[in-house]
Amino acid sequence: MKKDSDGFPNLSPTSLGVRPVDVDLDSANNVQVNGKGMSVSPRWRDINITRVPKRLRPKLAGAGGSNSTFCFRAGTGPFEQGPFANGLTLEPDSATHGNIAPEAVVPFETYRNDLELTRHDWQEDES
Amino acid sequence: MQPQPFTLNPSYLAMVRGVRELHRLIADGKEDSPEADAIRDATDGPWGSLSEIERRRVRNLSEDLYSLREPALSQVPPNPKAFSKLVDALEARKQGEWDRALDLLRSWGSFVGDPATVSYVRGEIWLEAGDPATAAVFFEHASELQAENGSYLAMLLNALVLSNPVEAHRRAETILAEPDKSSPVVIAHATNIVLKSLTNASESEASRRFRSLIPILERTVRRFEEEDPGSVDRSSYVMTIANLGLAHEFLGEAQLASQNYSRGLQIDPTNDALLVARGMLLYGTSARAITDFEEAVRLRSPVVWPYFALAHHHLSNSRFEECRRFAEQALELADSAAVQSELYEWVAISQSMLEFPGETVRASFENAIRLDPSNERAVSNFAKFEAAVGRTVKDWKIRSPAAVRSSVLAERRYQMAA
Repeated sequence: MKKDSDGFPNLSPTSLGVRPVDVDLDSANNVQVNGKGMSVSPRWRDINITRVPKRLRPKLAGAGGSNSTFCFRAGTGPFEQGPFANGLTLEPDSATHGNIAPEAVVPFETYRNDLELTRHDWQEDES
Repeated sequence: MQPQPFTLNPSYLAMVRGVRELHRLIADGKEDSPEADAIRDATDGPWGSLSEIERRRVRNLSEDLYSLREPALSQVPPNPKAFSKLVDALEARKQGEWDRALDLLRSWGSFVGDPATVSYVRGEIWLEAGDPATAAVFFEHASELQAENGSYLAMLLNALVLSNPVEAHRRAETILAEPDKSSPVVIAHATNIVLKSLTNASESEASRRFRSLIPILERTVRRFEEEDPGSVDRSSYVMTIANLGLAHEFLGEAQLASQNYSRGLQIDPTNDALLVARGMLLYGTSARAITDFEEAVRLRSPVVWPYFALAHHHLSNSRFEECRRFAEQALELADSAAVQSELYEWVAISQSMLEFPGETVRASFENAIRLDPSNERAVSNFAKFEAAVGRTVKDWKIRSPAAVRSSVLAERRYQMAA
């Protein structure tokens, strides 16, 4: 994610946020509850190598992401299905990937707002 | 155990392609561009589908691509231990242990003091592991570092033929526009690419192009001959002579073609393609054709023609068991229905003469006619067999050697410029 000057994630569709293409929307622009949402991984080393910032090459060979992005972590619990934050759940789809999804059918804007409200739960973690 | 290529599933290929393209953008200072972000978006899905082995391989490829742009590798003093590790890497490559070979180069390559060789070996590993597009990146790097080494550019052309034929052809034409600026090895490969591309050209266009390439091929042969015999790239030299023969054969200049095939065989007597090419030109006019075909068969030639011609030769000389044997071998290699039809017809005649059961002979004739209903000769021979009712047929219709030679040469021409 991109980082703001206060050290927390930038709120944008490609940082802390989602794009309509990341979820399934119905005709009323409501987000469907089917496990889709904002992509996350249990460890930054698991994410797509083209997204891991290049400066982390000494820690992870081949990192090809932009140095203007940062790895953030939220919480310390196990990477398993369950509540994540108000209105949101963690939905793992493999041992190395999952999505932060809405817990109920809600308007896209509500889902986005719920994600934005987690902003201060995220800490930079590139260790 | 035979070395196995990497498993190239669609997700893995998409990921590797994305990493290559991303590195191209990084090299151009565009790592934060919308194009780079589009690659990152497009590779999220494939990344999720990769096994841990594939992820490690992709990470390591990315690391190796970074190393191509890291400065002054050639300034590092050569390290004897690094040379022994390079030898280990070559041995691992020979064994098909691609990841281990690449790991050794990653750990020790920068201490060899010869980045061009390291890139060349990486390219060979990726090529042998079944990924010519990635191989091309490394061959290109080797070629840029040592432009005077034609083998690097030749390998780049070979990798591009497999991964990006349009680009291979573009580069080959560029090289051939100024042939004296490139080494004979490069010209040999560039002309080979252009000749193969003529399969999509009209006959007139192909003739024009063959004609225009002949002086370049002749000049390249002379340049090979001027080189130190101990260092000449024999396979490229022979390929150039063979292509010169091919150009003359396509243009109907049989004697010049045959002379060039003979010239190539003097250098490489076990070149089955040259033996078949010369044999076909001489079939029906010289006993040498038969020895050429027999030698090609002994060398297990993968093309149908020596088996086809020998089947015909033995049929024409009433050696039916030999005919049947060669025809059956030819059937395993034939992909044209007309050729298969004629081979089944010869099998049927041989079976008849060898007193096989009538049903067996009939089935072979029926195969011949089914494969090529326009094969009127097979229809006629089948009718003779049925009419003979247990008697030996003595007047089978069989094409003359000259007719077989003409049709096979026409077929080869068609394959060259169909």
